[in-house]
Amino acid sequence: MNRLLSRLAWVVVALAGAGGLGAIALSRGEPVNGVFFVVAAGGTYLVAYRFYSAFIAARVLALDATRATPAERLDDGRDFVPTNRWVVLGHHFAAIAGPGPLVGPTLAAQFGYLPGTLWLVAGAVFGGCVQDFVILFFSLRRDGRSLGQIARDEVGRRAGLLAMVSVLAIMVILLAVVALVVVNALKHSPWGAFTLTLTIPIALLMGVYMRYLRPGRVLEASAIGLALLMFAVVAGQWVAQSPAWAPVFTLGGPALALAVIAYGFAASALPVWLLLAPRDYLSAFIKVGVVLALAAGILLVRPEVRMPALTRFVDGSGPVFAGAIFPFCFITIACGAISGFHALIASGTTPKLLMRESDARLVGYGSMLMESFVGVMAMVAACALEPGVFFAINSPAGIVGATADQAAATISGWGFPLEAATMERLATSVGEETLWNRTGGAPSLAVGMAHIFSGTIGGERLLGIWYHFAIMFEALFILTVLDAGTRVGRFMVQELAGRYLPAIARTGSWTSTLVTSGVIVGAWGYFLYQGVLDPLGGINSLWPLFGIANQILASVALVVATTILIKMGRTRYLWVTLVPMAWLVTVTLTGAGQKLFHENPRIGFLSQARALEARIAEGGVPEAKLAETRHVIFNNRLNAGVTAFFALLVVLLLAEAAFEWYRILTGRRTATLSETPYVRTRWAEGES
Amino acid sequence: MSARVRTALRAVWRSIREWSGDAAYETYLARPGEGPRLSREAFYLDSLRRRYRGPSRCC
Repeated sequence: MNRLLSRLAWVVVALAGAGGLGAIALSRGEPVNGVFFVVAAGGTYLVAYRFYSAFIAARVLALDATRATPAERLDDGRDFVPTNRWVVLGHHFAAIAGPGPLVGPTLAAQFGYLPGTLWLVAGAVFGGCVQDFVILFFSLRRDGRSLGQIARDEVGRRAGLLAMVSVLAIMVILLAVVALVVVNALKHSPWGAFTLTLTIPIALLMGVYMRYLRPGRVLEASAIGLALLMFAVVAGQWVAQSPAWAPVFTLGGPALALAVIAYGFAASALPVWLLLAPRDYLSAFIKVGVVLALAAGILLVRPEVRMPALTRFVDGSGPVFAGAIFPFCFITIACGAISGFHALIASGTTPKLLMRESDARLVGYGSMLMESFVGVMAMVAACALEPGVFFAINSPAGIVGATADQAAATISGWGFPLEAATMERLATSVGEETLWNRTGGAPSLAVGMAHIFSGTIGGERLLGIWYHFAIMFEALFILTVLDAGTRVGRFMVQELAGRYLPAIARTGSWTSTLVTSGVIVGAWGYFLYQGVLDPLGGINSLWPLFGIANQILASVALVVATTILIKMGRTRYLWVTLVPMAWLVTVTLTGAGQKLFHENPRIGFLSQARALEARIAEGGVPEAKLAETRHVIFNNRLNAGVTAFFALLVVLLLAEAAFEWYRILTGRRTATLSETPYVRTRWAEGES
Repeated sequence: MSARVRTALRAVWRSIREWSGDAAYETYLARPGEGPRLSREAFYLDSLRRRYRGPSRCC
């Protein structure tokens, strides 16, 4: 009877998911309620978790609940700590969920809500969740070793080196692009800039509290920090309205970029307890709280999604970024569907905490489903805006026109009616000077979130507070990624350069710390600055570059996973990792090829460089703009070089792995796994 | 408040403390270990140093 009821319940869940997907896929010409997105995604995730992840756990990986995990065998109370699986789920989710699932779907909304939503759901179920789950499992079977170490042990030494180099290169592009999102969100916004500036002394205060006053009391310090943060959001409004203080915090792009670069350098070089750790604690609480609040808000407000299912920009002529739906939709939405960076987390702290091997399913597969859901909510929030408003905020002036009337006319001409006065009213109601050309995704997402939150609490009166709360939320955890990423990048530079210059490898040396911090900050800072000066808004070139890099890292992870499955003799189930890998390699290499060689100057880096050179040769560039234009030409060639480098990395790794697969499958080489030997768990024997 | 609710609330509070790292030192002390144990302050600094050596936050 129970079995029958359970089956009936799963049929209902599956039908609800299919009904939701059908409603959003087939609707044309009228707004769709946001609740359908929640039902479609939720139903699909539940079915995928119940059946597909169970299939992978039982058949493909054969999880063994009787096998002791590294946390049990190596338990030291510090690195290896057996932890409740729900707590590990929270840890892992907080670690993998960053700005990507919020910003990516927002940018991809230019194609309409449908392509992005379908990719978020399908990409996560068949790609992202699988990658996170299998890498977590493989690391679990290897004492929590990192992706780079696993690649070296299972594929070959060159593969390990390629993985490490790609991680470092990706880190540089990732940090540049997230910093650009912050800069664009705070540009000419005294309220936002002041609030975010205040987060620095708040973090310092928390750092001193947890270091000297009440060592390790994270909850007490976070409660104090959160209260001060709320004060900072409100105080930002006073600053924005003050004739004396508003100009001090009204900063342009270049000034903000330099401030963020200086901040990144300080965060990398200062002791971790002083700035990075307290900011990270604050950010984790805010992140989880806002995600829950957004889910509740969508269910309570039930916003109408006004963006059409598909827009005219599927052809590649989009103003937010150039490029057709294939491959750019799948590159733009990186983290909400599949993110290579997750493989680093899944082979980092998480495998050292799991109590049971079987917990890898909940933590690996389950937390990626949660992240994908965050992406779907971001899509709903962005698409709940009037499409004209969405494009007004996310399009650079170089595309829509420099004045409000020009921009309104251009956007209306695309079929999305908009009046300049609407944007003026909206900017006033959220306490901003202007919302035109606020590219990067963060401001439009903040407007969408503010509408949802104010629909629940406070109404129009609190729209400005909610908008700046959302901006603070996005900027806060972007800066956390910046802090933590710069620091890790610094360690990687120290390790790589230390092979040739032993003095650099000394992480305790101030000289080494300052030099290597300067190297890593200089690298991402350069890309950030070029993004700020880019006449097409920076996001147009940097976000696809980041997407390609991140998906290439996912390809690396899936190549490694496929190799291990072959060695395990699970060739029958190779499609589980091989299909998403083949898809990602196709997407990334097509994307890289188009960014390199596409004849449209908005898409191809090299054709843009050639077009600008031709304009200089024709005398079409004013004398005052010559140096800047030459700089843009150089940057385009540099971006082309970086893209080619990423593509080469994935081709080399694939060739190395394919050779290894061929040798194992033809019996020319014995498949040897680097798994740690089986030890029976004492928990299975009921000892504790 | 019934005993069941109290137990559930206690479990939630314990999970929040574990998730945030607030209970890390108590967990460390509860482990059987050899040699002198770290002070709370030393343990806190050591745990931060370990946590931020590798990728701990994603994009």
